[in-house]
Order: sequence, then structure tokens, then C-alpha cells
Amino acid sequence: MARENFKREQEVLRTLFLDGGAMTRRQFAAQLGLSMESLDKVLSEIKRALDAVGCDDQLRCEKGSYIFARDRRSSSEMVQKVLSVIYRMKAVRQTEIERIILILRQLQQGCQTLPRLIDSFMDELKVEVDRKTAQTYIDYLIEVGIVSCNNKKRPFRYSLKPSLFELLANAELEELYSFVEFAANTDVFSAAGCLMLDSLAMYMRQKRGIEAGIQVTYKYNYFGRILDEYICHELLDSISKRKKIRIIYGGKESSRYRSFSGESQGSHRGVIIPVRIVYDHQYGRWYLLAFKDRPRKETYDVYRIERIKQIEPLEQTVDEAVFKRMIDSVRTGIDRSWVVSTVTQAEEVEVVVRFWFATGTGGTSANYIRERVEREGRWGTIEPEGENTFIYRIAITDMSEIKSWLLSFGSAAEVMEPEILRHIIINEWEQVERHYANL
Amino acid sequence: MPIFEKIHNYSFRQAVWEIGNPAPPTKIEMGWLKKMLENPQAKELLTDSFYEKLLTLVANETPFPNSSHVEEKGKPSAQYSSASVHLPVLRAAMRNCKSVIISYLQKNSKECFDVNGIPCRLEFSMARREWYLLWINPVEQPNRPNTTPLRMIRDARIGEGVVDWEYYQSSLREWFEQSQEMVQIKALECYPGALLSVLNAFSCFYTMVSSGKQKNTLQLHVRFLADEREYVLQKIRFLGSRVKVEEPEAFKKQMTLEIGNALARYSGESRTSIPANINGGNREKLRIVPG
Repeated sequence: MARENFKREQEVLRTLFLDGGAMTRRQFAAQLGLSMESLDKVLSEIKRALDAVGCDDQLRCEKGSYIFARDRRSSSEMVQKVLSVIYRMKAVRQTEIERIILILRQLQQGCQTLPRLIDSFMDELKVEVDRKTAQTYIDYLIEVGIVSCNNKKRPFRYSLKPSLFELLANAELEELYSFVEFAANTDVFSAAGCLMLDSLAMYMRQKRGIEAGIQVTYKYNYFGRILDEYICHELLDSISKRKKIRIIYGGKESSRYRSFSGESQGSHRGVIIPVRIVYDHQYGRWYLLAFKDRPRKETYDVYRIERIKQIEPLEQTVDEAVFKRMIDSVRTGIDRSWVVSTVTQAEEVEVVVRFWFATGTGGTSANYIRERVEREGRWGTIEPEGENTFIYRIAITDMSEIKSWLLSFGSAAEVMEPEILRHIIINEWEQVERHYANL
Repeated sequence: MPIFEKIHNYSFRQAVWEIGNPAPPTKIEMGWLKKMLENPQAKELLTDSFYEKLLTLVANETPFPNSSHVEEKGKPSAQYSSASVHLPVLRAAMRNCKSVIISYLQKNSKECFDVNGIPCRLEFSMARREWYLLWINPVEQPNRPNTTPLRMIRDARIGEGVVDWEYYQSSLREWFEQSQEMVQIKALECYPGALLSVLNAFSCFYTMVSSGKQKNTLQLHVRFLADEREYVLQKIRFLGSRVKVEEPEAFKKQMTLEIGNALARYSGESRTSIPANINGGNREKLRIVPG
């Protein structure tokens, strides 16, 4: 693939985040299918990026292992900043940085024409930049939305777009910061929010002398989702254009992490039609639902986004009516699935669970079990039963997906129906019991 | 719109920082803000006039990303969003190192009126979708924080006088250090990818990981506070046979007891006593996940 690929940085950051310190440098490289030299190169680039965003102490090498220095005092802001550093790794030449910075400085003083900007390259950087090159810089700044062209006739005059931040009073900036921080932590799409949070904090400090942010912690957040977000953006672009993509997918492999260096054992490639993206809050995971280009059956497949090694958007598009049928098929398929069941044509099964609760413990009258079932029980229904029990019912297409959630209640949940799920749960508890058999 | 942009490159950011005049937010950032303002929670979190002002300022932007092809599954329903009404006062007090005077309901339903407290930290639980205030009562419990859900706060206003913010923050840190508990868990690769799912499940805690003694196992040392114990146990139970608690002994005993109780549910006669009228009764509908 000719396009820049961030899979290495993504997997190195994921490994550091999830089990930083568990592997030696050699194991780390082997696990990711990289040479030690390549791993060191990726890590030194990540380290440079972390230094630049003020997280220099978050990555260190100790006793032959790389450690992501995360602890309770690392605010959720810091963890997010470390992981979102991947969005600051698009390659750019130093000369381009210098020249664009110069353009920004010139425009901060007021409107400028292209010839004037070309002169300033010579005056300040002592370099001759041709008109075409200078125009590409300006076009880029217009494209990313920070510069505008003020007139329709020559000579064109360019200026910086008014910054949202400049239009706000100090108290409003603080309010905006709190809102952006909340949204960047709680919405499934966080990357652009992290970038905005950073530029807002920078603006508040430099231009208003305000230190942004107070002590806020976003607990039990699956920050890892931010690493996979960029693939979702690429997929969404293809979906909105009904474009097919070529994919290399890791599939289930025995290693903890999948090698991203091309087609390793267990990976497969093919052309697919992406239709929908699903984010599951229970596991903190992204999924892609897609049809094979030439399917044998009219059913979709489920792909875990983190296992996608490469995608390449193709020019081929899918007929609108066909695409609509695919969307409808996926919607119907997952409408009654607990997550993204692949059992697409299955009939719904009613799962009946008796929940046991105790009130009055710790001097409270709250029914925590019921509160939790109400919060997490999706489209299920609750029927009051005895003094300490209630019945929960839910119709789902694949009962295996609800198993872990039911197990998490421990002895507070008893599966009544269907019989097979009852046995699955009993079997799982018996397996867990064997772990503690010698106690 | 591509999410990777040269203008966001770390060297670029550093260079912008050095010239001391930040560039305006990019199209992606502005589009994302517009998208977030479309979220119903935006109206609750922002003051009315500021919300309207922001809407005007992003009017010409294209919402980013276009999430019409995205579906969220299993998002816990937020029932307590009205609690965010106290956030501005609490944030202002913390920002200006002031105390707060709060009236709130305790767990045991006892009402407390006009208590002077030092607000130390706000917490938002992603699991419960609920805000909490960590605060210190300098008279009754100066050395340990209270954790009060914002929905239990009836009234909050900024108090008089400036508090020694650094002192209370360091007290809080000290208390965190002293109150931490730790559980050692063995993760087993009982099927391909199981270790990754265990690591992911505990990634929302402060977890140290080391290689296990046996092949294809990992040791996780998960640290948490006493009031998080039930949530940790919930995670352990969620993972079923993929994990085994190794230490401490008390935790193992608790797990053994729980497994025994869970299996006992299935060995008794409880099932036969379930009402047979499966379709009747007084059902209370939960929310429906939007399609």
C-alpha cells in the first residue's frame, strides 16, 4: 500500500498500554513480528512525539523492558494524550514545517498575497520558493480549514480564519474546555477531541494565562479504542461512498498480538463491502460488519477492527439498491443481538434470568442489582417477583453473547431459560471452581 | 476528512508552541465540536447562552465524523444526567481554590444540610455514566475524602475564603496510596485471543503485567480502592474461566464462596418455583437501544 501506514505505531502503543513491562525488548519485537532495530526505531519516534506533547516521562526503558509509566496519578487526560499521540505522527519534512510556520506568522500580522509570502521566505529563511510550491502550502492550509482566501479576483489575499478560541471570553474558554474534555472521554470518537483539547489548553495558557483543566478523572474508560479509531474513519469514508475495499485481516491467531508485517500465519486477504461499524461498550471494542464481494451466501461477516492489518479503498462502488439491501440485512441482523452476533439468520431466543438482591445492607435501601440490570440490560424487561428477586427477560439472537454479562453478577443471577444457556453457565462456573479446587 | 494531518504532527505542534501564537482549530476539530454539540448531553453540560453561541460559531462546519453508519452497543443508560447541574459551581470552586457548601443525601438516606467541604476531584464513571464528587470534610474527616454521587447533592454553592488546595491535594494523594488494594490475577490463554481480552478488560484499572510462570499465561497486578472492590470482582466474574485470582487469600476465598453460591442456585429447587406465566405479569420496559 502506497499510503502511509500507522499500524506499527498503533500496535506498539497498544502493547505498551496493555502490558508494558511484561515483555523484554526481544519478546516485544518477536511478538509484533519486528526486528529489534525496527522496534527501537518506532519507539524512538513515539518517544520523540511524547516529549513534544509534554508526556516525556511516560515511556521509559527499565531492565530490558519498555514501560508505559502509568499509575493512579496519571490522569485520564495523560493516558489519552499518550495514546492520541498516534494522530501526531503523520510524516512531514522539517523544511515544510519551517515554511508553513512562517506563513502562519505572516498571516497572524494580517492579510497577505502570495508574492508577499514568497518574499518573506527569502527575507526570513533565505530560501527561494517558487510560486507553485508556495501555492501548495497555502492550498493545504485552506484545505485543513485554518486559512481562507478573501477575494475572488487576483491578487488573492489570504488570511487566518478567525479562531473560535479568540471569540470566547475566559470563562467561556473554561466552559468549552470542560465540555470538550467530557466529550473526548465519553464519546466513542475521541481523536479529534483530544487534538482540540490540546490546542485549547495551549491557547488558554499562551494567550490568556489560564491553566486549563481541573482534577477530573474519567474512570473505567477503555482508552485503547482511540488507537483503532483511525481505521474506523477510513472505513466510514468507504461506507459513505459505497466503495469496496481490499482488506488483510489477522483472524484468530494464537499469539497475544497479531503481526502486522503483511500476511502472517492465519491472516487472509480479500475484497469486501463495508456496511456498518459497531462499537461495543461492554468490551470496549470496534467491529466492522461487511459483505464479501462475491458471497456464497447473503450473509455478512464480523471483523474485529484491531485485527485489520491493512485496508485499501478501491474505486469500485456498489449499486445503491444492493447496498441498501445490505444495510437492511445488517440492521435486522444486529437489532436483537447482544453485541454483533454472526448468527444472523437465527430465530430469537428468550433468555429468562432470576436476579437475587439484598436491600438494607450497609444501611442503604438501594437495590444495586436492579439498578445495574436497568442500566445495562438493554431492551430486556423486568418483572418484580419475590421479596428478594425479580425476573429479567430478553429476546436475543445469540445467547452466547450474553454469557459473560450474566456471569459478572455471580450468584445474583440464575438463568432459568433456555435450558442450554443454563447448562453453559453451570459448566462455566464448574470450570472456574476447578481453578480454586485446592483451597 | 482524513484524521491524520501534517498540521497535527508533533514537530509542527512544537513549532507552533514556540512561536507563541496558536493556529486556529482545524476543520476536523471544528467538525468534531459540531458533532458533539448535536449530542443531547451538550445542552445539559453547557449554559444555554453559551450553547447557542457555540452553535452559531460552528454553523458552517461539516459534522465529523459522519456516524450515520455507526452503532453503539451496550452503552449504559444514564439516568442521572440532571446531576450535571452542579458541575459549574463545583468546577468554579476547584478552579478558584474555594470551599463549597453542600446539602446532600447520604447512602442511608440521611440528609445533610449546608456542610462546608473542600472539593478535591470530580470523577465520571464510564460504567455507571455517573458523576461523583470527591471532597473532604475538614471538621469531621480531614484525612479521608467522601465520595458523593452528584445526583445525591441537593444544593451546592461556593463558600467563603480560599482553601490550601495543595495541602488537600497532597492529603488526597496520600490517602490514595494508603488505601490501595491489590489483587493478583492469572490470565490464561484458554482460546486464541483470550489474553488480549483479559488485558483489555483490566486496562481501565492501574494494572501492572508480567509474564506468567507457565506458558501462555500472564500475571496481572490490579490496584484499586476499597470502594472499587465489587467492580473488580464483577470484572473477574465476567471473564469466567479465563482468569484465576492468585492473591490475596481473602479475595480467593470470596471467589470460592461466590462460585459455591452461584452453583447452589442451580442445584436447588428454586427453578421450579418460577412463575409459569411467562408472558403475563407486571413487566417494566427498559430502554430500547436505538437502531
